[in-house]
Amino acid sequence: MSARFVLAMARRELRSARRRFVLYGACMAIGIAVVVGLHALRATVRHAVDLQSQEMLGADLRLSSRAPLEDDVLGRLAALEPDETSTITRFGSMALVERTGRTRLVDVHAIEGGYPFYGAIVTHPPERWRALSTARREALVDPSLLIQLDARVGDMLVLGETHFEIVGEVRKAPGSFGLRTQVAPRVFVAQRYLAETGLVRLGSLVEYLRYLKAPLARLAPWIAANEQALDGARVRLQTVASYQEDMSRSFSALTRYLGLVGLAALALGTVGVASGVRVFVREKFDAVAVLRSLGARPRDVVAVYSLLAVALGAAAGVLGVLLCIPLLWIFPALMQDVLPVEVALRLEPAAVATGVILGLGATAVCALGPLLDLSAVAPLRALRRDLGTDASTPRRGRTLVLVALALSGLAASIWQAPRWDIGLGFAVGLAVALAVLAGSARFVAQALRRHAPRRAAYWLRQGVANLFRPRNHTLPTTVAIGFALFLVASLHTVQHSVLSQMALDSSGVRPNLVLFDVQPDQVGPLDAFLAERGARTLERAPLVSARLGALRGVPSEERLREDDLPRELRWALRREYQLTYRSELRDTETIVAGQWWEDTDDYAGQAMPVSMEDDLAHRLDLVLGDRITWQVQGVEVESVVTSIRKVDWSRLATNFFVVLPPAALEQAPQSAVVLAHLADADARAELQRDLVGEFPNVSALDASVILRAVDATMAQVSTAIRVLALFTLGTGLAILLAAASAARSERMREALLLRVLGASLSTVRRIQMVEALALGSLAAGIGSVLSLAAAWALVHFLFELPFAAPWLDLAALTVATLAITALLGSLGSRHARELSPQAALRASERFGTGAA
Amino acid sequence: MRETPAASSVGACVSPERSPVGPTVASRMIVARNLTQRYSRPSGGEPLTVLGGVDLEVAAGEVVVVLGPSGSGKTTLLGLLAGLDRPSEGEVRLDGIELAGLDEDGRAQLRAERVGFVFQNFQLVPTLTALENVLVPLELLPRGRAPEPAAAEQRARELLGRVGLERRTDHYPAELSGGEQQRVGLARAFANEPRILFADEPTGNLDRETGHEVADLLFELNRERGTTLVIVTHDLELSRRAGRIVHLSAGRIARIEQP
Repeated sequence: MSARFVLAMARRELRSARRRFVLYGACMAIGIAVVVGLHALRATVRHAVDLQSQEMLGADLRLSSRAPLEDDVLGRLAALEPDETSTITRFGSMALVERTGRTRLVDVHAIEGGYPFYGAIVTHPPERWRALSTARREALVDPSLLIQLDARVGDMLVLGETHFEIVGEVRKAPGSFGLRTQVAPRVFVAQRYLAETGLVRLGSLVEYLRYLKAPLARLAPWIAANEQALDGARVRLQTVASYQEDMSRSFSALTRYLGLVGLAALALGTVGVASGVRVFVREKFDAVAVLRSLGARPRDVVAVYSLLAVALGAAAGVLGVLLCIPLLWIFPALMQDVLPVEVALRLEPAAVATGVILGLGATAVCALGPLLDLSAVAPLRALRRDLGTDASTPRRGRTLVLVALALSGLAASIWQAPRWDIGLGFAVGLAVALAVLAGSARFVAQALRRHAPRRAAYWLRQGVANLFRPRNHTLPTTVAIGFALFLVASLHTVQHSVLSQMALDSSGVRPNLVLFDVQPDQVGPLDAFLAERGARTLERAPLVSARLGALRGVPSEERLREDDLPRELRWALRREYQLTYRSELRDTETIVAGQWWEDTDDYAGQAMPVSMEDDLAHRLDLVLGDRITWQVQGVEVESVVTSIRKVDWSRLATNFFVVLPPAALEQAPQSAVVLAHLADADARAELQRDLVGEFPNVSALDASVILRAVDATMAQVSTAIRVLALFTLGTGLAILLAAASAARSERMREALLLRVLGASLSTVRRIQMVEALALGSLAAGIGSVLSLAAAWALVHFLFELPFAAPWLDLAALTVATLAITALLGSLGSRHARELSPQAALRASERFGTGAA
Repeated sequence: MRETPAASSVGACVSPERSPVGPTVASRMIVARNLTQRYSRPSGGEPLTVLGGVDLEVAAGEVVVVLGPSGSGKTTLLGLLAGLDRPSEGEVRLDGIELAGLDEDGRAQLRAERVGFVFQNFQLVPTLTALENVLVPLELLPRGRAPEPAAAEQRARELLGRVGLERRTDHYPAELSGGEQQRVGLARAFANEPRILFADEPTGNLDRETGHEVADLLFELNRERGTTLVIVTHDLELSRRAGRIVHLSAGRIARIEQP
């Protein structure tokens, strides 16, 4: 092979096709930018977590438990001889700011000891943290609490029966990131005042945390020796390493999900470029035949164009990496509430390499088929184009290309996805979406061909006909634009449906106030309190904390000792359950197996019937008749599964995984949760304020707060997805330009010929506008219809909610897409209108070859 | 004009030593035996015979014109003689090399080293300048035979100067007239100093005057370089300048004449 020839030819081809290549590169670069940007973010976060994990945990070891640590555990801890120990008692409670009279559910952290041992808690005013241990009743709070309760430093904050002075706000604390504080902002107080608040009672939901400082040399063998015993005592251990792993894993999963959107953009770009490259290659057949007749071998030709493909791929990769730099600024801002650490973003060489590899991979996918075509161009074509000289790739080659395409798509999806099965599902879903879009575009184009307006004005007929004439770019444009719109619109519709349902739940006579931690002796007085203030009690459910003692006669401890126990089952066996008891089935529940109890007197002295939620039953592999032993604060309650229920979790109601008959739990230590309705927002605020005074241990949560929190949370993630979807839309537009550029030579020839034959400039303009509008309508129409179908399926089957489409938003989105498509399509062919008819012959030759 | 009647109904008579249609064995540049080309029809049925049992020999340095109406098989014959296509039957020996024994790469190398082409529609690579088009055959020469880049460019410039385009070297085909494009085609055809030059209707797309100029250049270059020349045409004026004229009709040699 003459390397000189290959290099020289590749350089010359690149020179002549640089504009097209820039567009092709841009199509792929956008997707690459998203994937590389998220990879860079993930790598940076992992690096930062590795460096900061000790500061984030604030200690070498953390123990957490739902109950105060037992003597045995405390003994084991003493044996470790930690250098330092600190405890935090954490629970939800109502907080009232005396001056403003405003209340809110808060996350109380009662602290004792020198936590954190690593890192610092930044407060404003500074240096307030250590002052918490002084003999004053002081509180440090999250900045959001001050805003939400209209409070300021110096105000008195009422927690239960104690008044604390707000002495500052916590600007930065180990392991804290914003999303958690959306529903319940944190309040830090000294533990010595916990008892006098009267908030922690039997049955209260409290998390007991113990932080230890100890050298790893002592810690590691201690963990190895005590892990099982602690597990048995339901004490969860968190070391710096496990914390590091948890943080990296959860953030990695999020970025990987987002990366799938980037991959979709890349796949889309690849589809667009592939169709552009096909047109480009088709135009090269004659030149290749000449080169072959002059003595170039098939492999020389393949080498020339492979080199071009490599150049295109590398350029797309590098362009993608450059484009991802602004993304590296945008992502952290978008995801500030879900970023576990402060990160200084930088582009690692690995990220650049990823970009280039993705570019090369995507180009290889685009170029494989066309290269096969080029290698099959016969030299005889230089003499005659009519006799069997058109390139026709052998069927085996085609099959190989298709298999290579499918495998590379699958490999990229699995590489990007958080789990292989998600990657597989994504690849299949993407293929189906693209196939449906392509099929719909083809169907509509064929229908237009059959039913084209035959009596309409020439420009209208011609413009519509451009959609189905040979070498049209209907398919790539419709697929690209339609897919981008599909992504943006379906996301928006799903979000709208979920929020509409929640808004509905917070209106009418549905509950909009949740009161929990109600003690048995407070039930009556609370009912009266609510009635006095015009609130209607809608539901009341007792709550009994319990653990799963044994399943089918096998103690949970024994099962938990199994090394190969699935993660989900381990969680289900270890977790604390909030059981309830009642005689009747709620309207949010449906029995799917067995039957609800009628009269539980029959069970006296026997195992009690229990009704399990169907997902949990599946997780625990339970069937009707299985026996479950519950440990209810030291007392064993035997039960047998008599029914399995499906629960509508989307409704704000007292929904439970496990329900027993009253006879089983009436005597157990318990608290209650009450759902009430009070229409007026001000009255609700007043009620909550008075509640803190009369029932200090009872917490209240306003449904509108939940709605706002969910809205904010969804907005965080959905904004990130929307930004990525916009990138997909950008890809779609780049493809549109590339497709218009690919078809430009033919449109140019036609337009000039029409003008030579006497068509006016306005006729040519109208033809092109009709084509662009028709193309835009097709893409926007198919994209929005598909998005409605996909959103309906997601809302109906996944979220199990009523479907609510944001019709106005969708219409605006569709019209905007249509307008942009039409504008770009029209701009892409403006040259044809600018040239004079005299330039027709020369220009058609020049544009036909792309040498301009 | 002396006419040599066809020795057989299928084409020219071939004698091992001296043939009325060909040169002596020692100086034969092209030897074609029983050259047949059939194409299957897309609609099925009997294959279409485009060329049927053609025998032809061309001596080194000879100028042979293949004349015939459209569809007589001229271009097919040219393609087979130049090794651009494989015959359905028969064999071709080019400069002593049996084409049937060469694979695709072998035939490409043979063309790169010993064959030149002039096409009816010029067939310049549109994305290359005139100079680059002329450089291509030099770049395709195998290592050892390819001149150094500077020498190659000098040679290409000389050739373009020889065809009167020294001032148009950096122009793209689209910026040249038809006559100028064909001149570039001629310069390209002679760039690798081919032993055989095939020309397919070299003046077919040009007006009479430009056609004359191009033909003059073709024959001048041929004389200067002693190249064997096979021209396919239906231009009678051009054919009169040949050493021999092979008349092709319905895929067979009808007669051979020496103008």
